[in-house]
Amino acid sequence: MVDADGRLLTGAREVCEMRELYEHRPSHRPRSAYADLALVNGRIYTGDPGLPWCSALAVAGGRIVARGERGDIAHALGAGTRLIDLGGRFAMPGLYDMHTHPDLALAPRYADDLDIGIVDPRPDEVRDAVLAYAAKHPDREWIYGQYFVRYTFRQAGLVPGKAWLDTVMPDRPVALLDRMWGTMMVNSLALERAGITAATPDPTNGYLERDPVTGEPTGLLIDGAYALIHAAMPPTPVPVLRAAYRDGIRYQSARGVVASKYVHVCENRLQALHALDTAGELTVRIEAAISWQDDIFPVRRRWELLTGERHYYRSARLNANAVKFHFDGTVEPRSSYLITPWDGANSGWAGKINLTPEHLADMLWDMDRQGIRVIAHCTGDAASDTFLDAVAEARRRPGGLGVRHQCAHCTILHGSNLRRFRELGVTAEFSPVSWYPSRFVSGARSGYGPERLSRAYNVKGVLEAGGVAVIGTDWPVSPLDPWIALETLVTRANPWGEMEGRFGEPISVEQAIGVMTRNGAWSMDMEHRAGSLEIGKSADVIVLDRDLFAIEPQGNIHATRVDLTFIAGELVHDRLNAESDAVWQGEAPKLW
Amino acid sequence: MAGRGAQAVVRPSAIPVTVIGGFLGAGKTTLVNHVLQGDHGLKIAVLVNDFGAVNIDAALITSSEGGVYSLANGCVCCGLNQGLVEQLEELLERPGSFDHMVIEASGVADPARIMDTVRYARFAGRLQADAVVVLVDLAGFDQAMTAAPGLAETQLDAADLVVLNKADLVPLSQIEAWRKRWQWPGMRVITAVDARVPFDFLFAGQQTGADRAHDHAHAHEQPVSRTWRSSAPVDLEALAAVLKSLPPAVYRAKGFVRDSQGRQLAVQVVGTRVTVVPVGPGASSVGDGSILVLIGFGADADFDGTLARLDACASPSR
Ligand SMILES: [Zn+2]
Repeated sequence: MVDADGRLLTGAREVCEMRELYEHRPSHRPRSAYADLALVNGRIYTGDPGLPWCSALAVAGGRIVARGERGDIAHALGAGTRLIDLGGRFAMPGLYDMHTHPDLALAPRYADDLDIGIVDPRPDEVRDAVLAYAAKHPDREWIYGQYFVRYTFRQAGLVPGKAWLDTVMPDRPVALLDRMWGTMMVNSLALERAGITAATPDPTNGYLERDPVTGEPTGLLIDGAYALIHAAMPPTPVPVLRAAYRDGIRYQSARGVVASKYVHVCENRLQALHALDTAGELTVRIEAAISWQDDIFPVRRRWELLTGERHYYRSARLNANAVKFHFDGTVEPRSSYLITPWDGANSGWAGKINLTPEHLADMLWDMDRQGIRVIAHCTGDAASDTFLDAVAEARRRPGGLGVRHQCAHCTILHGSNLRRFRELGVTAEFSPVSWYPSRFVSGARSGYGPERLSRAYNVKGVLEAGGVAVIGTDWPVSPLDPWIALETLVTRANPWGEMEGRFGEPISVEQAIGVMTRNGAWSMDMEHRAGSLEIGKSADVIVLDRDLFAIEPQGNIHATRVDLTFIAGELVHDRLNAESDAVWQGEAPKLW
Repeated sequence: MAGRGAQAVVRPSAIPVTVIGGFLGAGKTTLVNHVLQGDHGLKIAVLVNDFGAVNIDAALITSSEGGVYSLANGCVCCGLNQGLVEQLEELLERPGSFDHMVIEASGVADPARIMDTVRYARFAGRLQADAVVVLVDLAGFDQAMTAAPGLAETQLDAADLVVLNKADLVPLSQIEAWRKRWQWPGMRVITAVDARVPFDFLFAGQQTGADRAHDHAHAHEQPVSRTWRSSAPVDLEALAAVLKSLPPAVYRAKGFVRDSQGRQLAVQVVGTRVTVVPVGPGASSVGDGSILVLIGFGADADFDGTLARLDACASPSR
């Protein structure tokens, strides 16, 4: 079934057959004595300390049924077994990316919003573009897009705002961003739809420009005030989100990811993932975390989703049994919540949290009782400290199910919290793709000061204290490529050598693989079914173009290419054979 | 004003903020130094995005702590790094209040974004947008324009007042060419040498004497001012219409008015930025009637016409 180059040839088997129901079989249905898939002649790292290496694997019903040398699986090989000769290539368990947002970067590509497409549009060009868009999209309720330039309005002796926009388009709501994305111009109908009047208070992080005397909104909204308009606009449509997720999934499969957490989802996002699932295109196991707060986009019907509708989407590949929220801020604007104040601060400024500890504790306990995982963005040490306190409180209260909650980012951890990850059964998630030395990071990290910096990104500390550390790429904050993470976990250095130095303590290749495979499975409650190549576990195998244990990590691991990706024995990615029956063929698409 | 119930009433203690923008080399730092050394009688906090670039006379510095430098004339100066919101919060928490705040935007910054932050609701009642002053290096503008045309437009757009600096280094024809290419209808432009901008334009200055300030900062031309007074209540809608359409030669208007309901309101106009805010109790300097000072340039400042239109806003019969 392979040609001389080790490429897979299209089998006689019907392609769609396997995609239909994924791997389900009733437990009492008689099993075939033979494997449907066998990988032989490989250098296979299993991730199982009992048998770290083998050269052959046999798979039946999506699970590994035999492993060892070729002779150890011979009994499982039958006439119907698809035999793949790896030609000595390196194989290992598939990767787990436990925090990412592929929709945020990709959805705008499919949204088909108004894009005026002129560097310096004059008001009449803005007008013409709005009218043309309106004519071309008669079914679109809102006209939304970019951009206008205030200067060109001034040059023309015009004032941007609702008065001008009403002359262009009075009968459909319009919202246009300016070139710097600092101002949104809307017409009267948009204000009306959003319920914005002179009595509407300003949000804390923005304002409505108003007539100085009447207080009437002028139709210019600044920064945080956009949210008022976005809340009134229809949510991103399902087909747009579906196209976006499809690209992301295809990329992840091509880079060897077999399971991922998509954090911040809403009903439409779940619908989109569900549509991919039923089409057989969900080639990554997804845990989707519903947005607890409207901090990225408004989430309609949140309570219905949380109390039960999330189960509607459940399948072998998809679940929505998680919530995500931003607990503190970020390093750049110095809004991470820290135990001691930020360096260089003249006051006691130590950052902020977005929920009170009481709110957090009640929410955590309530979600825990429902079996819902809480994923909390915690960049500062005080944020994770407070989060762990709340988990401890939930563990004391009755009714909890002991859900493995997740502390996201863990940029700075306090030393005495390291052991609490193990004690409380909390996953420590890190973002190694965004924390190797670079110009951006060096600027952003300066506020930590030397003491805090010395204990940043403490993956090693969590592991040594017996805790479970996982990684998230956090795309689009940093690239969706998990191999950058694997390299920087091992080197803590810049993969391209663009900047000297190392941040944080490195871990070994073996440890890093464990973090990105077995630990990910644990954080998805699947460690007994997946995460390493053991008999009885899901056949989630990736075949690489290089042996991770035989190369110099720096500059090499991130460039690893994934030739084959199997999830539950299904071939989902085949890099080298465009004729393959894999769901996806060829190189990973370029996404950024 | 009835519709403004949701907005916080600006207390008289709200600190006016001037943002200074412009490309590198336009004279922002020179202007900041004029402010720090100026005899304007104000306690001023200056935030600069790159402290190292500001050469303050060491004799002026009385103490320094945590990146904040206290100066002999009561001013403080600090380096602005990440987190404008937090930096402003910190400054507002400092003991001893300021009369005014000046923020120097970096050469590549959009000064409007900085002023937007000042206008966030979280600063309502504590900070008040006064003016965005953008300096233009007449000698180097073309070069800057080629380098970053969008940025130049953005900076100009943000300006309530444009200062054409280094006017002594270019021929008059170049100034005219600049105006022809860049000036929009109603843009308030002054020419200056060594970034000497009259303090009247930088500071809302309800306490500053304009005369005093003029002695210490010299623009190319000298501003002139006229005062309008009325004891009759003012119709706010009519007043707003007048203030929004002041002749281009009138650069600033400031003062207090009393409306038909007997409320006192502070009025500030810089360029096209009009601010009308209720004055809280305890603003003792405010008399019974209305007073507005108009500041303009040149013989074409149509003061008489404006004064007549203002008179029409205040009628005893209303
Ligand atoms: Zn994230």
